[in-house]
Amino acid sequence: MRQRDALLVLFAVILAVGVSALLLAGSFAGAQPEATRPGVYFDPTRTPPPAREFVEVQRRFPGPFGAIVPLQRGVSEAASDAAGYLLVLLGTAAVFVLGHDQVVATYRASLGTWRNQLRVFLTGLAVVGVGASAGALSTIVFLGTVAQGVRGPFGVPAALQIGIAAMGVVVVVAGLAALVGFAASSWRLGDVIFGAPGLRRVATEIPTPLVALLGATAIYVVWQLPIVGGIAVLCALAYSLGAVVTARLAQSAPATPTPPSVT
Amino acid sequence: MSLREPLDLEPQERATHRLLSAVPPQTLPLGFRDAVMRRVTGDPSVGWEWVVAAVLALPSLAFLAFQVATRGGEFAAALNNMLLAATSDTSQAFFFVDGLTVIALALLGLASLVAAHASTAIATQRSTTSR
Repeated sequence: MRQRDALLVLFAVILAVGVSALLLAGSFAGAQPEATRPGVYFDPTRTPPPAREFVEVQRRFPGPFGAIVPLQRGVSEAASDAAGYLLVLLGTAAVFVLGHDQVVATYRASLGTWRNQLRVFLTGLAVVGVGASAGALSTIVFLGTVAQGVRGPFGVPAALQIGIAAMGVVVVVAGLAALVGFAASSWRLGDVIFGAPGLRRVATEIPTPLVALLGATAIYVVWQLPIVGGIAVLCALAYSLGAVVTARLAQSAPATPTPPSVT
Repeated sequence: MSLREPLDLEPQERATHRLLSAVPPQTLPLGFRDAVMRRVTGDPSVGWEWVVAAVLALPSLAFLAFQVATRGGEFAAALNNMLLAATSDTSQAFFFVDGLTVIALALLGLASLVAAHASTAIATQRSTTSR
């Protein structure tokens, strides 16, 4: 085990101890008979019941352990809002681990000058346009087919459910491709951030996944902005899909026979 | 090295290329290739990744199991309300989740990723060295 590995293990142990203390406090607070707020709540009619004052919970904790209750409450409330961010980080990291080759190929396809970047982005926009158009047209064709009576042995509801399920499958496949592209785009954005004059010196010492996670964080932060967020996410989606398509085309290019030169 | 000159050689590189091309090929010593491959693929241990995965996963698993054991009814009620809302024409819904559950799930996912990385690294090392 190298020194870096030992440090990582030590960091993980410290993190685990800290989180375990919070989880223990949360379990203890939730197991109280007067605990009013549920762990998970979904209701279309009523708002969730308010949480108990943490001073009441603190009183039941033995001595010095009561000090952890305010921290546990704050972390709990912050983390319930951060589920989307954690999901973005987890998805990016998962693609890096499980689809490493695809991410690297997509990243390589998005390298180059600003002209290459623009080409990747425009390709992605074209893919988004094709996807939206094809999705709308297939919906129209499908609904027309169902309405005209071609609905199989189970009637309209079953035909609609089968169609919606099939579209869900298409969306999942497109989402996987977009996720690979998103990881590569985050990596590129992280490179750009660490290419800044003040950060260039430390860029080589930071592992690639961390650079990519920083890029993903930047995209997520921009996504939260009120007006710019939607446009930024659309641009990120277009760039991601464009990078994936460019990588696919670059991979299949050598396999195609070169036409004889006219000259 | 091939005796045929590559097309992209500069004029001043040709003499060096001819000199190196004239050296007769020699058989590498036995075990050389394996030693090199061990050096290349030999990030020797991924044991620490298993340790990190276990350290991160166990508290989260314990917490989630405790949550299911003590507050499983709340999960079931929320799921039931979800199914009811999906079949009704309600225009609003109220949702709340304990943040510690989110943290536990995220840590469990992170630990699973670390474990997946460790197991795929072992598989890659085995397949590379057995080739």
